[in-house]
Amino acid sequence: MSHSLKVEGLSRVWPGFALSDINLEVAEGEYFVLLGPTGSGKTLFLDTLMGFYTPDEGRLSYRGQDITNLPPESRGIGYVPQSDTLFPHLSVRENLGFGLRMRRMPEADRMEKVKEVSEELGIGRILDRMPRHLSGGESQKTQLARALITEPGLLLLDEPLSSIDAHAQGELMGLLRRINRARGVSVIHVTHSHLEARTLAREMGVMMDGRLVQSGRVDDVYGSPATPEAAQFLGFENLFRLSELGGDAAWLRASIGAVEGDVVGWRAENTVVSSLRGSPDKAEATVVERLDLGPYSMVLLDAGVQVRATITPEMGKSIADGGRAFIGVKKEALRFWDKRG
Amino acid sequence: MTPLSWLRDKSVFIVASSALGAALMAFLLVPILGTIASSAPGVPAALMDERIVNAVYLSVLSAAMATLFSLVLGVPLAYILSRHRFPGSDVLDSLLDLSIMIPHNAAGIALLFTLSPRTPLGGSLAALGITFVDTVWGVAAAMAFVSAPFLVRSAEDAFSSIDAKMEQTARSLGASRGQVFRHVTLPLSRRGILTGCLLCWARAVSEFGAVAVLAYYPKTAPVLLFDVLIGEGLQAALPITGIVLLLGVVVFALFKALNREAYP
Repeated sequence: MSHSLKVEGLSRVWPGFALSDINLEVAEGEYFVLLGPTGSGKTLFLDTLMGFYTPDEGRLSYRGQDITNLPPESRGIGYVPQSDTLFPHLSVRENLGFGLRMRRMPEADRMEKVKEVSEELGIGRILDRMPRHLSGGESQKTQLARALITEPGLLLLDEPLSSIDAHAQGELMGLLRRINRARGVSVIHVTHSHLEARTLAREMGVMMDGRLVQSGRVDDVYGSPATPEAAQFLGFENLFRLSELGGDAAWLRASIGAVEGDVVGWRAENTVVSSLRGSPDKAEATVVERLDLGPYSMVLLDAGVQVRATITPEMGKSIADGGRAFIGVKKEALRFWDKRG
Repeated sequence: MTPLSWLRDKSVFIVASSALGAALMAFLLVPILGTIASSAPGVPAALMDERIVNAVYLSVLSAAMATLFSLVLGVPLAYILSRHRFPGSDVLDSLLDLSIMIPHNAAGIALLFTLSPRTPLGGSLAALGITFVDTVWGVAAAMAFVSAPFLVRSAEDAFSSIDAKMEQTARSLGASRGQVFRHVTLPLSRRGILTGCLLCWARAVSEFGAVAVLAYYPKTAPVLLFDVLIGEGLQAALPITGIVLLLGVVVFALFKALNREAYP
């Protein structure tokens, strides 16, 4: 498959922060989600792809053309930033037509195109409104339509769902997927939301401290995080240094068996919890804390080490704070890493 | 709701603060409104006095020249100061206010030392036919010297209030830097720049100290007012005072109108 965007060894230093040696390839038509905690450099990365910052090192190419030093307006890449950037002095219609106006498209053609795209995104009825009268969802759809109207081959979305309510988020996620498929536009979608990554992405990357620590198929990334830090961010609630599992935690070391590596981790859902010992490799634990999260509860148990587990409401009935339970781990769900920073 | 009913359920602190605030407002407004009222009967006759009309016209015109000069050079400066950080930009930003911090007659003397035909700059401009001592150019230069910072500050605030992401997004949509400035930055900062023009003009039209030192002649309204006050006494100066104050009230009304809601 041909590449829409190729990032090679991209680095850039700002006072107090740096993007370091980022390599990434996004295929034509791909929906790529870049996931990372707040402050990991996702927005600066997008801004650098867009040309608002020039890399100190590295090369960017888009559809085979070197765009490293091209100004943003010449890149042909669509961009929707996190904040609301609809031009407040222009109506929705004028906002949508802005990019075409900059390209000096005749007004009749421009209006035709505005009509077409606004209908595609379901905002045809708000074309005459001013931006301040739009809801969060309408505003975000208008920003999306404005970016799409110039028909970019690649769309950069910076936390596009973060400022809208849950209902509108669901609607917009469906819309984003439809646009990606129908138009064949490649998308790089930056977010800190696992739901968005799981729902929308085929390929994803994890950014931490200005580095792209991992990229690949969504299931692979979630299943085998590249580093303990990435694992922690991706929902491995239980992370331990093997060398520290002695004393009262020796049961855990014994149940893990012989492995190479320094850190072991697993998701809370892979902690086995029961009210009876059942098998010899389970340990007795005290329930430290229980948090009911609707369809399941998250419990913190102390068995020499503090282990997190998810339990069903049914199981929750027999486990109370300060009560006893027996815990083990699913060995096939364990992941190992060499070291933890 | 009357002021008294508003005060009924307020604490002692609020009542005391309101009383002190009202005293200051009275101190600021009573002299102006009182003088306008006292001078009103003489204003129609004063508007027939060619000497006064010429002085007011000169004030209005030279303040407009000072504002135009400040606009052309000040808006780019405001844009750079609001959008870019460079070595010394903070110092430059602070120095901008220097000309309005110094006594205005001292500002006039500083201008005289810079723009008189005996100086390199003044000499070069004199060769082009532009001289400053006792000319309209001098009046406008003195006015611009003490009023330009008001325009620059207002424009700078207007530019700073625009989300830089909005300009970046415009570039992502295909607009060059120039197009972004023309189609996004300028329309969004228009009110701030206009307000700055008004503040600049109002400050310029009321300038006395710097103007009197650099270009006592031709006489602007404040200079004529001073002249008449010293030469002919308070009663003779009253109608000119009324006209100058009314000009201020008009500018104030325009200023308030400009600061209404930005977009429908």
